[in-house]
Amino acid sequence: MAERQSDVDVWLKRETPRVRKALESASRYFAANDRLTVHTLEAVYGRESSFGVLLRNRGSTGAAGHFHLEARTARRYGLSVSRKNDQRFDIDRSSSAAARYLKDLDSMLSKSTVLGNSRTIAVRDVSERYKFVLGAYNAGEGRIAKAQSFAQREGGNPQLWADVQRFLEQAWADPRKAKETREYVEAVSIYELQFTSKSPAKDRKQKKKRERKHSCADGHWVTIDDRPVFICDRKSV
Amino acid sequence: MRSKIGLKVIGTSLCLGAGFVFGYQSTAKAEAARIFGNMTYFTNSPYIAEKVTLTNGSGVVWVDWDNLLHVSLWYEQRYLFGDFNRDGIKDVAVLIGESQGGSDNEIELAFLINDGKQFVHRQSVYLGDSAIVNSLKEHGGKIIIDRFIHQEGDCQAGPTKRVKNVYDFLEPQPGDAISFPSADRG
Repeated sequence: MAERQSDVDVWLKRETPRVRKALESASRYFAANDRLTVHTLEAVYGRESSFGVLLRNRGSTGAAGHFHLEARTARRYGLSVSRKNDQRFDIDRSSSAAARYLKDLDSMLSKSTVLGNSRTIAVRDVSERYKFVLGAYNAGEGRIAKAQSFAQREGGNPQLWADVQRFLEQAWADPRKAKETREYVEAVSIYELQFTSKSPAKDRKQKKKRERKHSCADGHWVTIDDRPVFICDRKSV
Repeated sequence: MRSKIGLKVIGTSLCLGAGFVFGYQSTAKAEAARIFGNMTYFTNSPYIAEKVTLTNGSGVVWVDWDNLLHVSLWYEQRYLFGDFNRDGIKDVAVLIGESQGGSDNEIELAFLINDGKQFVHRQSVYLGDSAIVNSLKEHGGKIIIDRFIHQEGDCQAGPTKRVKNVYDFLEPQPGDAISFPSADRG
């Protein structure tokens, strides 16, 4: 009997070169030291719309399109949302918006940020923060901030997802929605691991500026073969 | 010859009837969208005191942090009449969506009770994140909803578990419904 294909195997078959290019290009919004990668985008894309198979209605106020973004969030990232032209259905635009949104959530949770009547508590550990980012993508950042404050009040560690996720119901998530958010974080993390080992997609993260091996403060310019060349003084090297 | 004319007359009457029904339905839908898409609703959040007034089908409160944080509500273009509080006056139940950003897409059934002057949002039932509602039926003041909700392995946009539930405004099941007092929440 043939073994059942995993979700990731099925999705990888749907990942055309065009889609892969869009996801790789969107990963340029992540910095080199971010936990977010092109495989995070692949995992979120799979979980949200099964790699573009289910996109829902054009122009809807609710979530729709490749990354299942809500209209208001999509508009915030410069996407046009209308029945005639809904850019959430454009893989380039929607993956770019999703990457920027994930990056914004990551930045928001890396420091204490005021959100309405709540405030996020900075999550220092990058891997731990990754779970909070996924949770916020699914449930909304306000709920996560609220759950963090409940965890802190009840003596839990607001920087640990395992502690914070126990307070999702209190942070006004319906019990079924709270369960779904927990499963979402777990599933996307597993999908990402599988994509990392199976997917040919390559990151285009912003690289750190390379430090010059030899740099000097004092020196002088000379012309060699009609080219300007900076010669360091021996003392300043 | 006579039968041909008869057929033509029947055909024309059927076309006119269908056109009338279709025209009536679309007018009713547009009128419903005008009323329920411009009404005031509670959010499902116990932390938000403000109510949301929809304009042309959608509305938002609590916008913050460069517009990223918000709670938005919208009318889902589906409604159903019935006497839900059994006072002899027709009430209405409408489908609304609520989101707090990202891919959040919660579908709710809002009971709008007719107090004799206007419809007032008095209770909400959570139907599921990205739930797909197949049908809404009223029977004896109760609502029967046939819908798809998520099960393990489903993507967010495509719930596949089919469920049929009965909701009663007078006997809300614990965990299903949130009731709103007539006065504002603090």
